[in-house]
Amino acid sequence: MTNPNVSTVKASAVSIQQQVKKRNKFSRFARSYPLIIIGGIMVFTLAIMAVFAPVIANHNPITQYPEGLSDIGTPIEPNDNFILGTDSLGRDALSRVVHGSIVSLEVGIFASLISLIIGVFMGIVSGYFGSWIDMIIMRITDTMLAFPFLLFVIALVAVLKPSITNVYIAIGILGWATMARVVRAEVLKVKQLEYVQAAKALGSSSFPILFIEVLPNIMGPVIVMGTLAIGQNIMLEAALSFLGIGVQPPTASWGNMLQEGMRIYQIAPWMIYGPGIALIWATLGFNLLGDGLRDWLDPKTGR
Amino acid sequence: MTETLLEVKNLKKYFPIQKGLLKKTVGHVKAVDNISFSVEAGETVGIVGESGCGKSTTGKTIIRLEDPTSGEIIFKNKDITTADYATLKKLRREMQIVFQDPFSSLNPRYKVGSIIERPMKIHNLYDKKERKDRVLSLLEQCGLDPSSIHKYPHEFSGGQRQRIGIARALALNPSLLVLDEPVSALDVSIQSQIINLLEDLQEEFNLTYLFISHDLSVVRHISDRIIVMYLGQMCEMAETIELFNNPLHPYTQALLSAIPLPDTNRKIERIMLKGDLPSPSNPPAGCPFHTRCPKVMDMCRQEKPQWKDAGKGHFVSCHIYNQ
Repeated sequence: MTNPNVSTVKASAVSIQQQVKKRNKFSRFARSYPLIIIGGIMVFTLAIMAVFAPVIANHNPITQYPEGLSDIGTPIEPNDNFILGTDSLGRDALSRVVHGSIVSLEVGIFASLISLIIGVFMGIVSGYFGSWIDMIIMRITDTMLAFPFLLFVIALVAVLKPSITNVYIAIGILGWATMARVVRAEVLKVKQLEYVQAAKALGSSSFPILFIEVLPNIMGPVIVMGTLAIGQNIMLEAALSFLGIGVQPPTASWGNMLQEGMRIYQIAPWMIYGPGIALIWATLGFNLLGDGLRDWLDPKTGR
Repeated sequence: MTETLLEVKNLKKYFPIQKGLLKKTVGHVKAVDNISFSVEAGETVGIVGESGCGKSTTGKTIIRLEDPTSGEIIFKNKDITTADYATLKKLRREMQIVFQDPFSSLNPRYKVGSIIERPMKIHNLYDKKERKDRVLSLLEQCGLDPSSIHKYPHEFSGGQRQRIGIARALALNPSLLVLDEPVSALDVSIQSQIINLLEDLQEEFNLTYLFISHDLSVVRHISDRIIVMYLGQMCEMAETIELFNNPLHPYTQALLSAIPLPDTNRKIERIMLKGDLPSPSNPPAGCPFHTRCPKVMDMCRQEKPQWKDAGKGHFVSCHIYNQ
């Protein structure tokens, strides 16, 4: 009757071994690519903050609390009720920072997604077909890169009227040029490989070749570019909101919070701490994650 | 009499050399310059020559991976030189290619099963289950384990990857297979395995091979007939035995003398060629080989030699035999 016992012991030993193996694998990965772990944790906390914003924030971000202003009508400093203090209208700064992360992530992710989709399509078509198509697309990207990007976005947002949706649409449809160039360079490298020729010889037509054979092999740089772009676009949204043409008050955005805080930072410096640190946190997080991913997916560059 | 499967007439492939902002064409690389030959069903024709002589371009132009500059390619009595996309797609089922580099000819992102299945998907052949059965039988015929379908190409050695490449090429049941240096990237021991596999498959599926290689001993083993190319042009064409016993063109003689012999007692006169291959963008006037030919005559520098029948299906392009 000992046999079953032996086998279960063996089985559990094996499963423990597998667990240890898995843990070793993870720790080795973490040690080789610390940037992915650090950046990943930073981005993850940001995402948690955005998803659970109503739970984390203990006040309504746009309610003007009477107790949030001092007797002479100035913002009050951080205390037990308002952990990061209040702003000049008596709103809770912490709640606004937390809710601001929703705006930042929304704009960062959607804008990057839009430029990624346009940029990948343009780059892949340009690189694969070459000749006059390449010529036209590359001249368009040259033209787009020649404009000061921020001014271009400001102009477009002004035409579309400022709102969260319009901000990410504007950033998205103007930001694809660099993406297209990177993708094009990758496609030029991949398209001369023999498996692309083999697909052609097998009778596959151009678009299936592009999306079945070429695209999966250029995903590495695309993912890296996309991650880095999210950080940049969060920064850009903050800049637009800071200038008053991005997200409109009373909606909380780190950019317009900084702008409000900047005017009275000498009497209420806590107003710029929250959004400032949050902005650095988000941008740094995405940049570290992007750099880490680059090391991991594309070991030939960098390092 | 066997039927002619493929006929190539005066095939030319020039690559333009473009310079400057406006991409002005300043010259042409004459990769393939006036080549004519025919391949009969079921035979193996070898094309040999040193690197850069246009043998790979010939292969790729024949299966229309490159568009020919001029000339005619007649496959199964149909002129396919300027075939449009739809005709070409049908044609792909008849002629396939196996590439030289087994490491870049398989897409690293897909499992072997889907790599071999892809050609059948492209042509909408069979249903899902039949395709899978066919993938398995192709793997077996090419000497691979059925479990390979769940693996990625990087998990295989060079020889195994070449087998995968062959299985993929066979998936559409082609009648002509262009083998573009299929064994040059492999170890010698693996080379012979692949060659044997190719011979077995030829017998089983009644395939016709166009075997491109720079390795004379490999070509000698597998080919029925051999074409020797130099600088985009044909020097000599003969049956394998005839060519090896009685090489006519000085270039072929030099090539054959360079084959290492296992017998150390047998002394052979090695013909050493001097100089490099001339640039195909600016080939020498007259016979393309005259700059390096040990038997060069005054005539060679001015006149292009004629393609001449020297009897017994042996053709040569050299002034020595024109008189």
